[in-house]
Amino acid sequence: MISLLIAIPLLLAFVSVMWKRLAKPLFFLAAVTNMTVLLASWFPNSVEIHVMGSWKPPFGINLVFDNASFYAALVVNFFFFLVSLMPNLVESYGVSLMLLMAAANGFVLTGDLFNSFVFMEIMTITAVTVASRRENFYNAFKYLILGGIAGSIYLLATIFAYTATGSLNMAHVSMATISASSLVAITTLYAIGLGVEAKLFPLNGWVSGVYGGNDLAPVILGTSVSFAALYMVGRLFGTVFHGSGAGVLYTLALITIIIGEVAALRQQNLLKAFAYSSVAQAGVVVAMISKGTSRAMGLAYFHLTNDAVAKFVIFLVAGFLVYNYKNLNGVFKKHKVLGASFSMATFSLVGFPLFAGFQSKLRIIMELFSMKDYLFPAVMLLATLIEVGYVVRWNVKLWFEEETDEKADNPIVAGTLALILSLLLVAVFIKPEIFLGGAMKMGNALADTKDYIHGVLSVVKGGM
Amino acid sequence: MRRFYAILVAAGLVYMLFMFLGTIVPYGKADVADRVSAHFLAKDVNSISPTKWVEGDKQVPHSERVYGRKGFEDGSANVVTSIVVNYRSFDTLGEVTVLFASAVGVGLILGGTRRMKYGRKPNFILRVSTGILLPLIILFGIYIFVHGHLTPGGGFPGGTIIAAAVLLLYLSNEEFSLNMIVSKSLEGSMGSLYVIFGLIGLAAGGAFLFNFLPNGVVGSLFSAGVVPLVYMTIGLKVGSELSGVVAEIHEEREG
Repeated sequence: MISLLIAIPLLLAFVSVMWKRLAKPLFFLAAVTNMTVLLASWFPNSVEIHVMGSWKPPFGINLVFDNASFYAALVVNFFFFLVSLMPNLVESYGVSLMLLMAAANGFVLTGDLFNSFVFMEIMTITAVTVASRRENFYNAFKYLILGGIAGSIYLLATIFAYTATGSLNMAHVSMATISASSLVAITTLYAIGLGVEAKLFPLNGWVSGVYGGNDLAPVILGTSVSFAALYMVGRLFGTVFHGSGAGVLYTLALITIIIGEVAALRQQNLLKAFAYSSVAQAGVVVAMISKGTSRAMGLAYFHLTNDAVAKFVIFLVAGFLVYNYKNLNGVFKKHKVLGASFSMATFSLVGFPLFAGFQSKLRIIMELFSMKDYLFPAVMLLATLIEVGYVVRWNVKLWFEEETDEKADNPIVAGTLALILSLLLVAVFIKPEIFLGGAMKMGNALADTKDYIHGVLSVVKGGM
Repeated sequence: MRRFYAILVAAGLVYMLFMFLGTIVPYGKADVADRVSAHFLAKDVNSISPTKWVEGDKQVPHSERVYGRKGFEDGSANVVTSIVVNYRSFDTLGEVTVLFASAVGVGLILGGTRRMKYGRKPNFILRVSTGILLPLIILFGIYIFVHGHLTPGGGFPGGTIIAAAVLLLYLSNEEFSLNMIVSKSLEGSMGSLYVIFGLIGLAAGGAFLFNFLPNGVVGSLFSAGVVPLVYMTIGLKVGSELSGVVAEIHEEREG
């Protein structure tokens, strides 16, 4: 069943290259099928595997379906489903989006290091294609170069892991004894390889250009693809390498938060400002993952889910505004629904009470205090102050400044989706269990290496 | 200043990689029996107990694998093919998709509609020798991917050779342009066929990309189950895909 999550979008992508006009409906079909498959197998609560070609692990490739990969796949496919509801956004990018969907699912589900590299390659190439929309070629090229180098370094890390353990299977690598010097090499290389997609400090130069260059890229890359990449950070550094290399990740993540927020504050372009904010939030998530406990990781993914939903609304509204208006002053007076959802999403981003962001930020800070870490909460509070600065500034500018006589039609589908999602953020504040339950299960599954190894390697029947 | 930082980062990266080289086992010193690939070479993955293997009970393969016999778990004579298209076929499906994604990206970014003209007239030797070479190149490409499970080669090199034939046509003839409808339908149908083979495996053997055909005698043309079929689809797909890329590079936008 799980292999269908990858096979169906891939098959439909190949079919739609023959009939270009079918690409949009087939993308919708793929998204619906994937959501159906996922909803049919709600939280497996155990480690299930699907063995490719019936070659048992650690020899063959296997997909792993546990609470962590289920929750990640659910979030990833949910955003693809939302994008597929907006055909004007998809335009001629249907094939690329289907491939991106197959790759993101594969990246999340795979239990094999080399296989994850292959899916990362597809993800990078299709993400670059999506980023080049609206003639944003220069920034897409920068992303291609960075993504290509990161991909090679990820491959190099995989080679080091193979020479050290003789296996590519994540479960086997996680139980093998690796010498300290090899472990340093492997974790450093993986940190660099994932750093580009996870938007870590020295490697995130591409983000503002790619997210700020068109209206499709931030909506899908800032939500689904980011979630997939940050899931892999948790899987590798939490499950496979048991927290080695976490110190480096922690330091880089804290620098990422500060630099991202300062850049967001200084930025005058709406899309780019929130692109930098998404960099900073990725920093929060990575710093939390590097703590390594199941509760910390669960809270990291709770925060990431809140952030992804808020960012989807923000980028959706911002993308509509930037490409329909030359002057954004007071534009929400004409689009009250979009404006209300945008404001709710940005308040959730800050962590204002009444919105989901409050729940996750508060919990993260409480958890850090209970771990006796005072540096990270300080950084986070400083970041929140900066966030208040630019969120209030943008809201004032978009709601209250002198409006111009430009006028664009209200986007009905996008407006409805933005409103529903921003109300969801309020609902999560009232009943955090909506996201928190799944995220906590995910954190537990990521931290429980023993269960993972047992689940993958004891299945001798080989998926028959 | 930016250049200085770039040099600094590059130097740091090179230094780091150099330090990491020390952790690799020197050439010739590695114990191959520790690696999963030892059992790919010996075609005895099914007879190994994975739980014992991961616990450190390395079972060194000992039985003979003789060319021309039958009854093995994998039927390719070319051991690279047995890994690429059988043991780790899912990775190959991914690599096929990487190429496909790149070709889609090239098409979207270039987006030409009219054949570019360079205003050169091909001379007699080029024209005639193209006519002689073209069928030979295509035949060689087909040979490479049809024999992928027997000799070095396979779908990717075979397809590339076929695309080289199309490139030759583009270079030698200003009037020639590839029929994009044919190349796109070939590309799409062959790609779907690979996934469909995987789905048939799922239905027949319970695992995606399961080898559902008999393996036959190692070394004969009709052997190794589904592997030659997969290599043929890959060859045709890569050939039509790269031909399409060649065609798109030789096209320009109107006006």
